[in-house]
Amino acid sequence: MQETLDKVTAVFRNVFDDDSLVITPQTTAADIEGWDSVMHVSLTLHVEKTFGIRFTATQIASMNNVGDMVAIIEARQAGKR
Amino acid sequence: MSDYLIDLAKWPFWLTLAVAIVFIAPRTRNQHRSWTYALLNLGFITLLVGWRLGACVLAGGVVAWLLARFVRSSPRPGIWVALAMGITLAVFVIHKRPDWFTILDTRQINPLLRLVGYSYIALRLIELYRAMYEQRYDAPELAATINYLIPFQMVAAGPIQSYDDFVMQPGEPRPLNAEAAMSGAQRIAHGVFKKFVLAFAIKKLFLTDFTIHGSYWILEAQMFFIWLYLDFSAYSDIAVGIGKLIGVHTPENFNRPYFARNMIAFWERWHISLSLWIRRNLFFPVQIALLRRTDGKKPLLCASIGFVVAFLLCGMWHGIAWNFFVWGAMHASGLVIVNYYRVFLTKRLGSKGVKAYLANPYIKAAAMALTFEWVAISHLTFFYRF
Repeated sequence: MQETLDKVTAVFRNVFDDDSLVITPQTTAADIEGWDSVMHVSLTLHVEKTFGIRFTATQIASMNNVGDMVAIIEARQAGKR
Repeated sequence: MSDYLIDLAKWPFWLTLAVAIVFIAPRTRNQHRSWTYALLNLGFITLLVGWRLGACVLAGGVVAWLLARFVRSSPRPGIWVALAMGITLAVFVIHKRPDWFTILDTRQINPLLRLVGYSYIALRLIELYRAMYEQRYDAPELAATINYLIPFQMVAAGPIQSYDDFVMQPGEPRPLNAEAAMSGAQRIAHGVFKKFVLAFAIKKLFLTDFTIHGSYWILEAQMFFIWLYLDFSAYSDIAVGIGKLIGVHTPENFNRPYFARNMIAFWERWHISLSLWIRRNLFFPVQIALLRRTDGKKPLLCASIGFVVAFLLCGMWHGIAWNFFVWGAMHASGLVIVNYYRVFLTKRLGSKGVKAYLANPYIKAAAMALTFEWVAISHLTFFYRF
């Protein structure tokens, strides 16, 4: 969990160009300036590349906070749907 | 444009609510609850349209239920989902353009499609079939299918509940307590006041369907947008309030849209359930496909194409006519401009400069006013004869 969260944090800091960003599982789009519906897809595709996985459109749409994103990443890595 | 077909001022709606409170709110055993709610939803439609057409609605529900099952369990789901989506869209076109189908006798079926709000049902059907095709959930029971497609409190004007949201809601809601009852009743009262006092007064005092010549249209455009918000959000208030009373999750549809400082923010605050539907089913899939194809190198262009496709189709969802095409094009162009403008600002001012720009209250007020006017003027397309 923590390892995944650290990697996700690095992606967020890179995409939003802000090294001071603190990311927790509860972080939502409302907490980060610039994380809107347009940025969301670019962000998740960066996450895909970092972890070497591929999300479905439905999974991308269902990520309501960072915790959802981490759970989906870990499920994908474990080979589940 | 100016009136919904289900008249909340008449008794069938409130009678259904009263029966729902008596029979649904305290019921916690899942299976009975689901069937009771389904009978109420069908009963409500039957009160409005009579037995024969009520039976047609039930038959439509059975067809949708069977198609959902076939899509879910057939070894060739592609064929079934194409058939299910094809039927949904064909009925949608008949609903929107009966004049194209003079060969069919649609005199009975068209008023019914309008009355049950088929535009909304079509969006729910697409969500249902897509969820079945992606095998996200088991196929629903018949009662659940009816409850998802025609929930009486959401028939008139939404909200459009996502299928995920519908499935994930707890099967056994907490029994109604005094606090929840008060909160639900307050929300309904709020909606009734907005619709029957505020929106009614604005309509009577200011709205003429843009028939007055001269510069009056400038004032009327402002008042029409205010009326639209009050009237439309009142329906959502009433639906959300009823949802609280009967323990059926009913999503929020508005979040202070006049405070949006650009068109992207506007669509995160206005008709939220439609906006989320568009995002899930049109904008994200188009944007993802394009970003993958271009290896993420042209994010602005990909998002812009996504906006244009999504909002031209959203325009056609409102009506298959040039008016709505222009309306969709106006909203899409607003979204595309905001998207490019943000990148321009970041390049010009840097991320610290953008933060200061966003925090400036004068710029914020001007941005909110500009957004308001862009949307207000887009409504003129509903009245203009192309």
